[in-house]
Amino acid sequence: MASTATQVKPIVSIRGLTKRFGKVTAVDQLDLDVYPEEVFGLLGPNGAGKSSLIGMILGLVRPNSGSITMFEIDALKNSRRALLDVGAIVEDPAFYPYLSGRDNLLALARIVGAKKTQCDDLLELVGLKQKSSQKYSTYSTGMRQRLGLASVLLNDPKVVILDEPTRGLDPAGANEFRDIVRDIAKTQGRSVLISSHILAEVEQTCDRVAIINKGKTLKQGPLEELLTHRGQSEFLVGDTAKAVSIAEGIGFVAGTTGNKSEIRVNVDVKDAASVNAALVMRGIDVMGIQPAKSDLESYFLELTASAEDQTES
Amino acid sequence: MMIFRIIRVELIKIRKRQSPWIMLGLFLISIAFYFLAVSSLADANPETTQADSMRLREGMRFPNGYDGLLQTTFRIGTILAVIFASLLTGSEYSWGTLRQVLSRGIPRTYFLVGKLVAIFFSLFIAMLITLFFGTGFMLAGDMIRGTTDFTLSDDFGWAITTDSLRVTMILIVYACIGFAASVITRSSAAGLGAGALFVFAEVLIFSALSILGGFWAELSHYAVYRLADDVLMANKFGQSSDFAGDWSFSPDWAAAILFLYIAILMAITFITFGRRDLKGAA
Repeated sequence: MASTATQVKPIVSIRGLTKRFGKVTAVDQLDLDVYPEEVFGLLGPNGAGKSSLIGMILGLVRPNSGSITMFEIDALKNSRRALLDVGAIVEDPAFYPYLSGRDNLLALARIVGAKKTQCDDLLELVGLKQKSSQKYSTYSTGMRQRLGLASVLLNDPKVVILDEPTRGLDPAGANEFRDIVRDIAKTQGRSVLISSHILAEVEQTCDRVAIINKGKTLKQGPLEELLTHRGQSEFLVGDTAKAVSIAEGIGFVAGTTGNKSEIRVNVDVKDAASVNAALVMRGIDVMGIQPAKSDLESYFLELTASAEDQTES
Repeated sequence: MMIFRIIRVELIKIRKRQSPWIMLGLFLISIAFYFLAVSSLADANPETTQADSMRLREGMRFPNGYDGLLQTTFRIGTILAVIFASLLTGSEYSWGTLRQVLSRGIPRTYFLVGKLVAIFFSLFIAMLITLFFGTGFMLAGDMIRGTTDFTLSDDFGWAITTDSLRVTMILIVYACIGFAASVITRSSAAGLGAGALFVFAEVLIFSALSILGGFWAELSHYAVYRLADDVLMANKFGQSSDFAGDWSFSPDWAAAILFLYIAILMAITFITFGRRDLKGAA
């Protein structure tokens, strides 16, 4: 959905959202769009404002200013209608410990007006059917998350919001959970908004990402775009030392790094051809050129560090 | 309708939870203990005169025993009502289930109304169970003593119904205090503490005020406990007489003032809950 995102109307649209808790600004003039059938990642360190943002979307936290539109409904004025097609886990899944998994699901189903039969189908989907009669208090963290996911899918919501969904899960459980999340979006046609501070999780799961820190959006866009269009090009060359010295002599090249077989030139992608021509003219064999890709972690650290620098200056 | 669905779920939750049944069980045991204690006092205590013995025995017989039954319900039930409402409301915060329900677009007012109605209904049912068991205790005592002859006045049915409803109303007032304390403090423990503190501290504070005399003594008439006492003065069974000799409000006026208190308390509770953020700062 990322490629068509710009032509499709967002299903969730947030503009200028601000929330202050006393003197602390948890969310600061935040803009965000979530499109249909995409997995949107909200990435940020602990305390970045992710949970406050999700709380505001779900009507649990009152914003100081800004707007939230869901399904073209003003969610701040009519949260009941806006949230009709939304399922969410806020922080940890929360259920009544004295009820069984099935009774918990039935209780929520009765409130939201979902069919009883859907509960059994969902318990089957998340692999809890066999243990659905056990009391929730006896459930492991993984089972609790699965029940949480089943509750989220009650009434077939168009938007699923998951706040740190793999917190407390072991690696295998977290992987399995991510697969289910992708399945929810891709095969069931729902939009998923997922918050996480785990970079690898976002990288593996999301189509588009917003990187937020101290309540502000530092960057937002398709994951591929964030990882590639960063003004760097990679050249696969024969003589890296010579290539580095040539590239550094070109006026518009901001910087270069090299290893045994390739150099990374800090130049806009559209200027890569000029760099290529300069290298070839000076006798360097260029075997390949591609936009430089980095992992989300280094990009995230770079972004948050530059945001820190700006704040300090 | 969503509100009815919420009430139904609240009632199911109460039915499946252990603590309300434990509280009801303890309460019924205390009622049984009351009848046993009075019985042993009437039968075995050498200090008791024959006239007193007769009076105690008569007081335990059906239907006179409703006096003691309703008074005990008033005295112990008020504390249990605070505990019951605090636990039921506060645990929604501590378990995080409040967020889960409200994040599905359930209006906050519906959530509170659903819970309150379920609490009121449960107290009403608890009152019926108490009457059922209390009647059983009285009749069993009569059978053991061989004094099964009794006469019922023409207005017995009406009297026991209205008297029980008055006691239930007082229990509801105290449940509202526990409920409000839990919503405002956002915790069952804090709500329980605040509610229980109110129940005990109010009696102490207003007793102290009544000793001071003058304006302060007048003020003590507006205490919830005192007003509850005044309301129960309308009862045929279980009239309270803690403040005999002092002037009191008429039962209707006392009920009206209590209603005003609860209306103000509920307004504060609903407004606080409606405006509050249900998550802390991230």
